This record gives sequence, C-alpha cells and structure tokens, in this order.
Amino acid sequence: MCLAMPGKIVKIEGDDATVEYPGQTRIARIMDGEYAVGDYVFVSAQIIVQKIPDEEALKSLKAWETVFENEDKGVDDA
Amino acid sequence: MRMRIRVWMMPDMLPEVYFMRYAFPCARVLVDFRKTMTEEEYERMREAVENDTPLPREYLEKTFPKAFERLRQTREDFWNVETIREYFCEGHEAMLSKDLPPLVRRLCVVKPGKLVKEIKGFFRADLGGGDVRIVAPLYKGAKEGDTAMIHYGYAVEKI
Repeated sequence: MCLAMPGKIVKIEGDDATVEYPGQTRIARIMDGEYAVGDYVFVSAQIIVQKIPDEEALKSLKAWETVFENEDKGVDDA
Repeated sequence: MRMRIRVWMMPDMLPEVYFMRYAFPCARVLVDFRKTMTEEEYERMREAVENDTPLPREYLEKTFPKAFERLRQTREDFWNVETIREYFCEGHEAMLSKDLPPLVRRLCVVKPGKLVKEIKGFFRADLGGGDVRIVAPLYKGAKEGDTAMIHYGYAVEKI
C-alpha cells in the first residue's frame, strides 16, 4: 500500500473517488470541498485529506520512482 | 521562532502514548518509502494509538531511530512529554531527509491548525497560508473551534 504519496482521481461517484497510484487503485471518500477527475490528492484513513498542486505531486511521484526502481533491482534501501 | 505551547493533556498520559500519537501520522512513510515497518506493525500501532495502549520503549526507539537520535541530543532523560512535544513541534522538521518527496517533507511538519468545521467525525482544519486539510482527531473531545497540532491528516493534540 503506497499511501504516503499523491494519487490521481480517475473517477468520482457521489462522495467516492477512485484514486490511482502506481500499481494500485483505492477508493477514498470526499468529506468536504470540490474535486475533479485528474486532481492529485493526498489520502489518509480512507478519506481525501487535501488536493495537491500538480507540480508538487509530479515531483513527489518522480522521487517515489527511485524507490520502485530500487525494488525491481533488488537494491537494499538504507 | 520558538513556539510557546500550553499543553492540554490527560495528567496520567504515558510518554510512550504521547510519542505514538505524534509519530503515528508519519509512520506511513516508514511502511511505503523506507520499508522499515510492515503493514502488520502499522496496523498494530494504529490500534494502539486508538486505544491509548503504550508500545514498548525499545520498540519505539528502534522503529523511529531519527526521532530518538534527536531526542537523545536534547537531554539524557528524554522519555517525558515536554521533551517529546518539543521534538515534534520544533525539531522534527530538521530531521527530515533531503531524499524524501516534497509532499512528504511538507506534510511531515507539525503545525497548529484551527478545526473550523466538523464533518462526520472528521474536521476541516485551517493551518493558514491556504493549507486546508481534512483531519482525523487523535484526541478525545475534539470539537469545532479547537486549535490543534496537525501532523499529516491528523489532529494530534489540542493546544
């Protein structure tokens, strides 16, 4: 479960947002505020905590890529 | 800038429980990014925080090495609420590694926020500067109007 990273909303049905992460998809509840498909969000305790600006989200996802790359190569993360 | 915080807390709160409340919100990073905590351990910690059950000090010291590295520098007897509070509210940011993603670095800073609206047990919290989050309260009796220390998506402690 990679939740300490931004996910992208790919679908909204009522109060439920389908949020996509690299390798998995999760449902998160919209408690408050307006969101749109394509928004990057931070999720915690199965709810959307905050919309994340695209730039911050994309930079963060790039930083996460290194973690996944190291996993594939079998590199031990210090 | 040094923050002067009046701490509201249960008189008999164990320092382990106090530490866990502040540390739990960023434990997710240990599971996903650092891979030093398992999902089972995360779930165990979540339950312990919910029930105010202390986990062993040795376990906490081993699992959150950066926090204790800093706590040890502060004073010899660091297992007390005041020292732990000072770490999370002032020293925590300095311990964040440069390799962490920007989002993690930003949300990991513990900041005060006002609980402006209650929504089905959660709260809209305003931390100022456009930083508005929906947070889950970790302390009992949380209500609209409270100012609380916010860590990631949690209101940890009323101040």
